[in-house]
Amino acid sequence: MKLLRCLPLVFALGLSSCKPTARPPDPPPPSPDCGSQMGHSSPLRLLTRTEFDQTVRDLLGDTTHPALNFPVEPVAFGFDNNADLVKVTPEAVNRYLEAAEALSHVAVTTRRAEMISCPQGENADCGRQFVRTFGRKVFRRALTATEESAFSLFFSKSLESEQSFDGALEATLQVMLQSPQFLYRVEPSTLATAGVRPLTGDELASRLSYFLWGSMPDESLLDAAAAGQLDTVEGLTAQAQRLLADPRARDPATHFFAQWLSLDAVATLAKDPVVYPGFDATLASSLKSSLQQYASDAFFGEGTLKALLTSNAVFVDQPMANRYGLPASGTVGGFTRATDPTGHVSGLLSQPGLLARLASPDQSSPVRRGLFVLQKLMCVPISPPPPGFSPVPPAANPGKTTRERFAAHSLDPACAACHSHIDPIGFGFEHFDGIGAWRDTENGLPVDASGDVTAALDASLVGPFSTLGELSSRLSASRQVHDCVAVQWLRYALGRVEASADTCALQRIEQTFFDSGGRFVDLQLAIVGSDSFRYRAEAGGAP
Amino acid sequence: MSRPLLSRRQVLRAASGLTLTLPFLPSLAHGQTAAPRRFVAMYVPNGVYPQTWWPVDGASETDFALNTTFSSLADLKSHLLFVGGLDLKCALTGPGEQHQRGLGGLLTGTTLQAGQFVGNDGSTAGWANGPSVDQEIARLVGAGAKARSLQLGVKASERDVSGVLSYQAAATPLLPQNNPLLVFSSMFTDTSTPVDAMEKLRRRRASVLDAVQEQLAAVQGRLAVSERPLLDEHLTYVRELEVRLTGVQPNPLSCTTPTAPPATLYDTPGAMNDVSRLQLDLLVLAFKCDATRVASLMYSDAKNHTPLPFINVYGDVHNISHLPDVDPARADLGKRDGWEAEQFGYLVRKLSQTTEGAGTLLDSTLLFWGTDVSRGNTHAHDNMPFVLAGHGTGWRMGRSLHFTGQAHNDLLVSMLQGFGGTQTTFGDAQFCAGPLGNLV
Repeated sequence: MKLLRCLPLVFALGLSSCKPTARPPDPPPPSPDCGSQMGHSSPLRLLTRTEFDQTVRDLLGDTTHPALNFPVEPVAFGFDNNADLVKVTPEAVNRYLEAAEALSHVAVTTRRAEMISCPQGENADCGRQFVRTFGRKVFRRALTATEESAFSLFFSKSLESEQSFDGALEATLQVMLQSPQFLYRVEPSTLATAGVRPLTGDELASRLSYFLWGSMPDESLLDAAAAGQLDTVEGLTAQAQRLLADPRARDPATHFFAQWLSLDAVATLAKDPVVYPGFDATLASSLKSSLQQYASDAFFGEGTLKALLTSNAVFVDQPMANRYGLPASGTVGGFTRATDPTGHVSGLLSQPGLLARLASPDQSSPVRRGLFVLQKLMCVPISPPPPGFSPVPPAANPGKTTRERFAAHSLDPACAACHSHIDPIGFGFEHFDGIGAWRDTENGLPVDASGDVTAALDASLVGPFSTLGELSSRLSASRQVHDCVAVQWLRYALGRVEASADTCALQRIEQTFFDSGGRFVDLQLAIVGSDSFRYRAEAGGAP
Repeated sequence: MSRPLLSRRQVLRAASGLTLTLPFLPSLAHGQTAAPRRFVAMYVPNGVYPQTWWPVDGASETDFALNTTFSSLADLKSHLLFVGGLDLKCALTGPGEQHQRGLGGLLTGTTLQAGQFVGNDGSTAGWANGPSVDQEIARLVGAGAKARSLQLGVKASERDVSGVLSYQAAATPLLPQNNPLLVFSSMFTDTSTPVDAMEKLRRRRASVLDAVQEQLAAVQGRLAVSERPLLDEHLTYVRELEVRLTGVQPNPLSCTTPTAPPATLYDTPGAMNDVSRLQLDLLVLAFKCDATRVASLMYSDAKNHTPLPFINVYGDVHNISHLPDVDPARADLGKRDGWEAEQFGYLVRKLSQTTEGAGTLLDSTLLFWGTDVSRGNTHAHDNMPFVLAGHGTGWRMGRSLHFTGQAHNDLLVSMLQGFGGTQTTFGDAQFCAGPLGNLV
């Protein structure tokens, strides 16, 4: 989202130089024989920091977020769970060790009774019992016979060297917490010749729980997997519905929105204090919370894309009320779910936190705002500009409006090729200044906030609009926007970018999402039931 | 809160106990007299304001005047070596835009791989295509320290090729840590463990990590061939960790138990000055305690769309770097450079004030300052603004040198050889003509 501010920037949006087309990296032309199962190779997935923390919360009751100081994951396509990028580092193995030591010590000291009971005495046999029962939780599946004997042997050796049952418990748990069966979501290669195979129940249980909870499967899910209930779409869907009804389902959805809307970047905004007095770190932090709550409210309330784009809610605390003139209940530190009496703040696109982020430190940015709509909501790809351009936004000028300055700047034909598509959308936001506060005039001149969507795959999106509300409702009804959200959620679910093998699955997911009226739960269920989620391709030659 | 970490008696006892079960310890073998050698690479984004950055030359290479950017480093002039006339040739071609290529190639000397990270201008690239020089230097001098290397950030927020300076290997990035509290916990967590407990801990760690390696090997065998290298790397790291944790004492005589830094709003522009100070203090402490010997340090990232409120720069610095030379607003870049030079100066000065044996930490450290383009408004990669400091490689400092368009790969090779390496090329070999002359 930081790519703009240019002017001679030639964003080739398609059409010879600049026409909006499909989503980025366009799947290769479909070869859809959508009748047969399609699977894609699924790379080994290392738990992200978020997943690690949520897993040890559910496994050991730990709420100290030990993964906070693990190495930061790279981000691709806006998400931190890309399987090809999230890789172990030397520092990470050090952090895993420290976390395992701390977690095992606290667990054995404070929760031993929940992990193991030894009615027959604290001995190697009880250790084996621990390995079998607790190991199943840690590894998210029953241990193999080889694993069970390896860990049991380790336990009895530790019993000798530690001279303490609890010491042996701790050491054994430390090994488990650093083992690949815990740190990774392992899907072994089992086909002798190249082909596609359905995932096993255990593999699906982990895929399901990490997608919908961002954490380990619970006992019921493991039992369902063992009983073969996940082997049918119906059985898998039934479990998915159960998981979605659980409070834990809030975690991954919240994390999706946090990344999709770059909430962390909202919290760290800084603005020019001369232009925007009163904008400080406290306010930036309020704006982040407010935007997060808006997304959660739409997602967990009405639960549709339409609600997300057009809800008239705004979450206001005292600092926001003071700066933006919005109503607040006056509770200290708390947010009120309010409605803007002026009607100006209505819908995602008018949320102050989003608008403050899509702006410069000293002015609004029609370019960033236009690009947000094109990239995040319409999935319009951006191609590189010709070399040699040195993009600079027009400087502030007290005699002109932002719109006038940007419009003049874009007259250069090289710039106009793309900016004639980007800026007209962004101009529609001009009633909101660089911190997202409403303005009727700028530099004493009346604001012209009329906008235009000049090109789109979905013809219903194209045409001038006079208010942001009009743009929002047009977006919220568009098939293109639904598809755009669906493909981003699929990337988040699979930890990878869509490939040709996903073509048929994606078409079905998009159709289901749109037909459901844009219900997010139906989108999640459609992803769960898809071949992309339930199958994996293998190269063959399995050991 | 400060107290000597270990008494000499405790150390001797620990060391004698260790010889029964562990391989001979190189750091102790050389006794306490041979100071470890150290390296720091510091990155600043988007080039500099050349008018005030380059020194003003006099009659000879030792006869030069610091320019205004470096006015706060007047007392350190004899420790600095300006290295003009080198080109970042690996950044001229390959995937990505100029900032991505410049940052990715700065310490690796490679072009970028193809990939999907979107750059400032919309073009895309993957990670750099080889290890970075700091990691190679760590392989030469790092054994014996608690951690092989340390990657620090001051609001280096981009989590892709635009935000990575150090690479373990091709496409294996080491992302910087922006939060000083977490740097502290990673460097100093068990330095205060009593020696007796430490011995027990070591034995358990050895046993646990052995078992972890068995599991890694077992699971690896069940994976697709294409996925096995991932667990191969994992196995290597665990093996290295085991050797490090069970075989080495932190350098005990020069280190006191450090106090944790305060919590900061470390990702906000307004906190950058404070965070920089905390990170630099931790870096010096890590060197002093021999927690690590190699560090890289990033000031923001190659996108760098940030104001710098603490020096009253409220424009987007990246955009300012694009302004034409004649635009008066571009002078804010000089102000930014001056602040960055102060950070560099603070580090050099603090190393020079920290004694170690008969000398100081600066005697054993080489520092390198670099950036991704020479000038933001042309995105050029010629005549890169590079400056070195410190005496870790024994190079003659207090000079301003002018090379004649050699690739910066040659400087990287010189650094490696300066730390005892035998490499004659580094990064893409096509750019390498051999180590630079006139350094030693």
